[in-house]
Amino acid sequence: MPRDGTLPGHGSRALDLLNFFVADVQTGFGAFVAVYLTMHKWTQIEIGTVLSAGTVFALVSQIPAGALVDAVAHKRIVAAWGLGGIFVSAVLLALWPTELPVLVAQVLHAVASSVITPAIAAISLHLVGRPGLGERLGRNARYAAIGTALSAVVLGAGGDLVSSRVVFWLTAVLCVPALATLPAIGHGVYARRQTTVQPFDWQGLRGLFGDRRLLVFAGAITLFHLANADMLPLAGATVTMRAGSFANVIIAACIMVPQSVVALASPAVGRVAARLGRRPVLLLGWAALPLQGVLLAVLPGVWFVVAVQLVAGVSAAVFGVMLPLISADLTRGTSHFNLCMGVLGLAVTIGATLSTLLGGWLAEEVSMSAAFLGLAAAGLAGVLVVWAAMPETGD
Amino acid sequence: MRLRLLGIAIASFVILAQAPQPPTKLAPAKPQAATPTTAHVPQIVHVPPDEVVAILGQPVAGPDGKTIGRLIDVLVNEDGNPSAAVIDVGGFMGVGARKIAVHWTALHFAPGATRQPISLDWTIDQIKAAPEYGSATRPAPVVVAAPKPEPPAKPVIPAPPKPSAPPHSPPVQSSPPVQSSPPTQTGNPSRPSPLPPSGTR
Repeated sequence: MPRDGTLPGHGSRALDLLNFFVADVQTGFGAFVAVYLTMHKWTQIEIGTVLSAGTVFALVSQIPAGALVDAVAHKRIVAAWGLGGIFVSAVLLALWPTELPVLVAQVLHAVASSVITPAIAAISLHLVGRPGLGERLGRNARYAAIGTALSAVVLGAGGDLVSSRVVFWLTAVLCVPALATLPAIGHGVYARRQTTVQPFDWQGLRGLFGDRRLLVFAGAITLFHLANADMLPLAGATVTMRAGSFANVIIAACIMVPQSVVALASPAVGRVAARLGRRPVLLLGWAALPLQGVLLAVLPGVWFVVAVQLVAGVSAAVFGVMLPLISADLTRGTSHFNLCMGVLGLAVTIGATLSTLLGGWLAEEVSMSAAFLGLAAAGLAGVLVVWAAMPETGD
Repeated sequence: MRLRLLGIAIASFVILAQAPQPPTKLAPAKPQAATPTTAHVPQIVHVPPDEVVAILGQPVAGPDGKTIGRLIDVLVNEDGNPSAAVIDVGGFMGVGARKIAVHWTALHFAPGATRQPISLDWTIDQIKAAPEYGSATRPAPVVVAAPKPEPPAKPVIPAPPKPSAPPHSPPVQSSPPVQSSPPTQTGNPSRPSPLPPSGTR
């Protein structure tokens, strides 16, 4: 029993580090790309175009990437290709912030990210098997959160103090230790049992896409990210509006606080989900979002905004563990774990894209409070979907 | 007169230091350096780097000399004169940045300076209170009123912001939606004409 991932073995430590470094290399690719391109005299229209290209490729690559990870027996090789893609993407951005290289970099990064997320989940499953997966995913989320928080500070300071290019050079450099962890993770004792034997498992495929639970969960995830994705950017804009000269420090705190909660709470989320079932944990995490939106809409000042990020940490911790965990539940006995993650990843991307549109539109046309309340309403709809339609998927 | 601002994405916008500069700051640049000697022969004029400054993407310094953001766009009027600048303020790693449009006369340019050639003479409170600037395709909330601490806001060359001013320009700021349209769809006649911040000659 305790072999199922509870013992921090050699491979387990290496997987911790993989999650840490992958989170590091992803940090620079977020909102920072727009800042970086602005510094290189890109116009807003040009920036919008390349970012949209990245979003489109993130959308279309989710499901094929999941299917690819399913089809390849050696998940660590897929992860290595994904990291290689991110490395090239970072180098392109650092060397040539001009149109074609940046476009290639954005597309490459979108596709590579679509591959890496399911690949890490697959590696985790191979390492600990289904019984230990909840706890393992909690650890993944913990180390990813630590990586995100640390790299935000280091890259943010480096970008400010040295040059904006440093962010992407550091990103490229950090791909190296990430790659180095892969051999150390090892093949995984459960690899044999979890790997697909037949590449086209029509039976399982039909079972997966005919599964009402997948549809319900995808809907719940879309609503979750519809509420979630624009919450931090809007909170940051609120801070900028209220805080003046120290805004950047406070926004950095707004990024750190939820990551700290994720780092502390994720393993517990995984354990509770394994012991008490998925539903209560899902409801808790989903319910944290509307609460966060309402609090941000009504509370004044900047320090409250930072405090509310504690609530954001709860939803982030739950989401990070539950997406791969429920994917594993839904694909028990089939070879479509990563395809399922790809479908849910598509739901994430759709929700996040719409969130930016909804939040930005409400903030501009009505008010910032209206934007928070609108996002909260979407989050509430997500809670209702989980409460009314999502069955328990654990055993 | 209805003012049309064209929110134009300008690849590398170079201002002649002499043009729309409040006379308070900076000794007037020497225009003769940029004047062609003959009228007939097409000539290449070499503008010394200490007389002009490239502004797109450049950091903008606040009143205390700290960087408050970056200049990302310039809104020009019918005559091609800059009316307002869009500045991306605040944020950390790109999170929480917001765009504000400030009246051109609130900006000061020091072409020779190596560090922070652009400065904005607003207080932090004024920057905080400025409304978010959306995009060039919609009415732009440009904060027009000159900030209090700058007395000679009047004699600005291209921008006598008065002729048809509604009674809504208290010294600090107000944000009438300045018409800003893409080049194709020039102005919407149904909209009331707001305070023209500049260009009314």
